[in-house]
Amino acid sequence: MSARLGPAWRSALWLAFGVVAVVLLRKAQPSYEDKLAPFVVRGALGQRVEARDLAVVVDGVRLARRYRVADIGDESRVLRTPGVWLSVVLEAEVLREPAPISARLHTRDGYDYQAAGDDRPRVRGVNLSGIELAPGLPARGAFFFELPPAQVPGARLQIYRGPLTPGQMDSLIEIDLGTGAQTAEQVQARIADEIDLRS
Amino acid sequence: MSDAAPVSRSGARQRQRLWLLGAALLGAWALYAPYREARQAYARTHPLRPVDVPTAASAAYEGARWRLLNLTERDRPGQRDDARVLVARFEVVADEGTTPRQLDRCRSRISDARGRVWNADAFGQLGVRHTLPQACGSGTGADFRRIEARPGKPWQFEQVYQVPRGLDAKTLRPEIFMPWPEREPAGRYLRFTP
Repeated sequence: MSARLGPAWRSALWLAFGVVAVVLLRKAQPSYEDKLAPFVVRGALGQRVEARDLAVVVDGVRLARRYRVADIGDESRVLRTPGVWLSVVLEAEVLREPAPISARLHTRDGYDYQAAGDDRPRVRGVNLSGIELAPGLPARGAFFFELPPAQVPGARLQIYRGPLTPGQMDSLIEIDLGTGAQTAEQVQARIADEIDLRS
Repeated sequence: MSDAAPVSRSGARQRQRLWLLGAALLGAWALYAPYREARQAYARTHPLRPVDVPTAASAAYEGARWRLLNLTERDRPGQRDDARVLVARFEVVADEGTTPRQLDRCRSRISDARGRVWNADAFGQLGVRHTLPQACGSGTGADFRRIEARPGKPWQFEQVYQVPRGLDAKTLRPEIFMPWPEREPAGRYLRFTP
């Protein structure tokens, strides 16, 4: 075939091939965000997941419409949310350097729900938001999230070092919360009316 | 055209070899230079290059001489079962021209042989009662007046660390680091070895 083509045609074919290759490579080129994206380490409930400088074991997930928390003296008060409270109980440990850890829920629709601050709910020694961890001294506690009930199915828990967003080119632990196969009705059925966080 | 001298193949190869070598060197430098710059920027605020100082010896660092006096365990009420509190006592003698404010920039942490580190309790969260100032160049005296390190006079201070129980204190290395150094190369820090 190539013997029948003249040198001009051969050059034109090579040029076309080069242009197509450039276009395809350019389309497949990762964006700046992709290049600096954190390295995702995936795991499941009950499994110890170890990343570069962070290890977690997520024990379970609970859903509630409201929390009952301690107030001044022996009083209690109710903490409500326009959506639903989702709490994850876990044990976390940094492996090399002291650091706070943060968590967020990444939903099927692509939304991220950051864990509530250390005052929502304020449960000393339980709410891990803003707590600095040290190597060899694991912390057991929970992260609390407020989100619409419809966003619960398929939501994944993401845990990382640092106070804000996941660090560029750092590790990000992603835990499958096991809600992927649940329908909205099944999620509704799992929501407790109230969880007492005083004990 | 036909009178032109034939091109020497070995000469062409030689020229290409030099060009390729130059391109390779430039490429390598293009990778290394940003890395070096980023590392330098990081070193201004993070300890990177340790200077090992044997216990009881002193070392010059950022306009003063530094010495670790001792590392002891201290009880703390309500301490978690798997942790213990260690207190490192340091002595620093400032050179002429070094101010307490410059010394107060110091940060401390403690490391083990595996490279794990624990920061000093800078904000008193551990609730340990101190018998010495915690800052490297100033503090509050018994009558609540400000006291400061003077050039040539020894100044003692202490740093508190919470580490996992079971670690041998003799293998731990208290460290002193000055961010934004004025005299030392960036990233250099003192590591007091047992």
